[in-house]
Amino acid sequence: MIRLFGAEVRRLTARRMFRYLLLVGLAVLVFLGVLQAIHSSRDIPAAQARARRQAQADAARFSVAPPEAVARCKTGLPAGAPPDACTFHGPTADELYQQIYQDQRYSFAQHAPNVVVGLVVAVSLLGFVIGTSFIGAEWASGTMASLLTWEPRRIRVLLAKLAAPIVVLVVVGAVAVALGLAGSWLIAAIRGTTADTTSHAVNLMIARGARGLLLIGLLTGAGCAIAGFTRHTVAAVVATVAYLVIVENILRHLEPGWERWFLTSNAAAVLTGKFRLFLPPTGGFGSATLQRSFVLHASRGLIYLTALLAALVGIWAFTFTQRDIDEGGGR
Amino acid sequence: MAAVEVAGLRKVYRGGLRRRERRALDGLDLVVAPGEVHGFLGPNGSGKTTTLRILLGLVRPDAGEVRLLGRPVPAELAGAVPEIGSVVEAPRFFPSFSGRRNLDLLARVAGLEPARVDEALEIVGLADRARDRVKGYSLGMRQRLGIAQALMKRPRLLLLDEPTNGLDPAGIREVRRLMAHLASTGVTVLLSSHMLSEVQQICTSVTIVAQGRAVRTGTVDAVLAGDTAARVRLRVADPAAATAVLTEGGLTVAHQDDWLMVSGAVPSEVNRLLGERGIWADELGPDHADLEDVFLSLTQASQEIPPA
Repeated sequence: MIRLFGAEVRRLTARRMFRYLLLVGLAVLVFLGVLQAIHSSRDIPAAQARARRQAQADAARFSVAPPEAVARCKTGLPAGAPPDACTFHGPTADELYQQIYQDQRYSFAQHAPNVVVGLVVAVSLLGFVIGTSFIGAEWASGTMASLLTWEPRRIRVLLAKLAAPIVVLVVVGAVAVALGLAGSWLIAAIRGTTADTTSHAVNLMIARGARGLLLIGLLTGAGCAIAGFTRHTVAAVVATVAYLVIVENILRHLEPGWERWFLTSNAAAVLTGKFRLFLPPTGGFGSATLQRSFVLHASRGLIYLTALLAALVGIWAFTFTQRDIDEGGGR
Repeated sequence: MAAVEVAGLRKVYRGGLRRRERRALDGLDLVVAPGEVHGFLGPNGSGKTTTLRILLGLVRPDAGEVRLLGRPVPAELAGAVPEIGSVVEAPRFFPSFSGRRNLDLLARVAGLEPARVDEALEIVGLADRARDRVKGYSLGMRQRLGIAQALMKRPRLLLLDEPTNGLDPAGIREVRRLMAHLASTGVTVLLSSHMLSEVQQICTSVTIVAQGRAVRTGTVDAVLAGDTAARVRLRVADPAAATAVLTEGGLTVAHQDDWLMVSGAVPSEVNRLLGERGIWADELGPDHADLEDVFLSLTQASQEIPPA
């Protein structure tokens, strides 16, 4: 089993698709890091001065109402209206300054959680595509039959083929998150700020990263399983995209309450810790309505997605052990 | 203990929405003794590849018993597989990997030494192209790579489905030599082939299948003798007169090109009957049929018998 697993890992990591996607991913990561570093600025007085100048200019412009508007206002005034009814009171420079000024520094505490989310989503999608392609290619090339003449125990073959991409992609995800956080810290330390990085914030980030790795494993496994029983990469990808784009979108409008069972909602809950779903308002007193919401917790999402993966793997195992490996090398 | 034992093997494929049935095997029996090079002959669709796939656990039979190297299949196939090399239909490999990497992945599955990969590539003459991608290989090179993967295990039993398919004459001769060499070292070979002359040259025994059943089995000599017993080839100046004389004498005569084929007699008897009536043969002798004749006569005859 270990040998089989090792051979599958070797095959996966030797694939050009896998290597190219990793290189592209790394390039995108570096590019975004450089972009953030360039965008980050520690020159707070200059930023404040720019914002103040902008606020004063806007306040001056907004304080004078156009004469035509004032004239129109006055003609429409009812008798007995206050004399200053058509006097325009625009926002003050201080009010505008509060809106305009933004801290241009890259903040680790503020931005790093988003970095984790972005990386986990990217590696999860990568894992799904690599998982489907890894299994689909085996059927397309007809090599499954060859492999089974070396290891006829199909459940072992299935488990090795499932475990290899999951383990590899989780490792890739862990490295990506570690690199992302390290890069984020570097940008913050050199060109931004690491203030407010409390131990609580770090713990939350670690928890989010850990849940993210689980999500990567689940989605990679789902890709493998779907390609496993469809025996076709494109069929697996099309079926999944069709589900996400058509089924979830239609049901979201027809039966908003079912959103709690959607893959995307549960994946979001796993990643973010909790995910609030807003349900259609119900009738209240008179014309008032009551806004309803439902909170999906990470643990629930994790159990639900794991159960779905188990079901998909079960279908794959059933078809793999029961169906013949026919002429043409596989299908 | 036979290397391959198959008894009463049956397989029906059901395909399409209407679940149309196609009977691939209809009670096939097959026995291959250890050390034999056994030819497995049959027309297209006679069940040869299905049989090999069942032997390797790729296809599940509907009925029948299979034992390889004494182990029941599929229950104990995993125990026998390390000693079985196989090439079924066109060998399949990952096209974007090199030949060497393809073999290396399989060798890792079985925990074989990497040196075995080089050894096998050397045997089939692919060592210098081992680092090229398989997608650039010709059909013959892929076939040789398939044979290399079968040899990597140093098997006791080789199951080969049309192993010379796509090979050039030199390659075919190499494979023939290789199988003769393997047989001399005690390896049992089950060779499915359409090339009857090849089977006649290489194999020590043969099973001929038609419509999923074995219609003749035994040593090659015995199978040939069984079909040509008491048959005489005859050429005369007046075939019509000779036919009349021999038929009167209780023999069966068939015309084949310029020849008369006389069944149920030996040459001296035919000569005597003709001589008594003043007909002299231009050529006369026992009919030495080749495997192709036997194959055609048996498989054509079996097509006239409705399946059980």
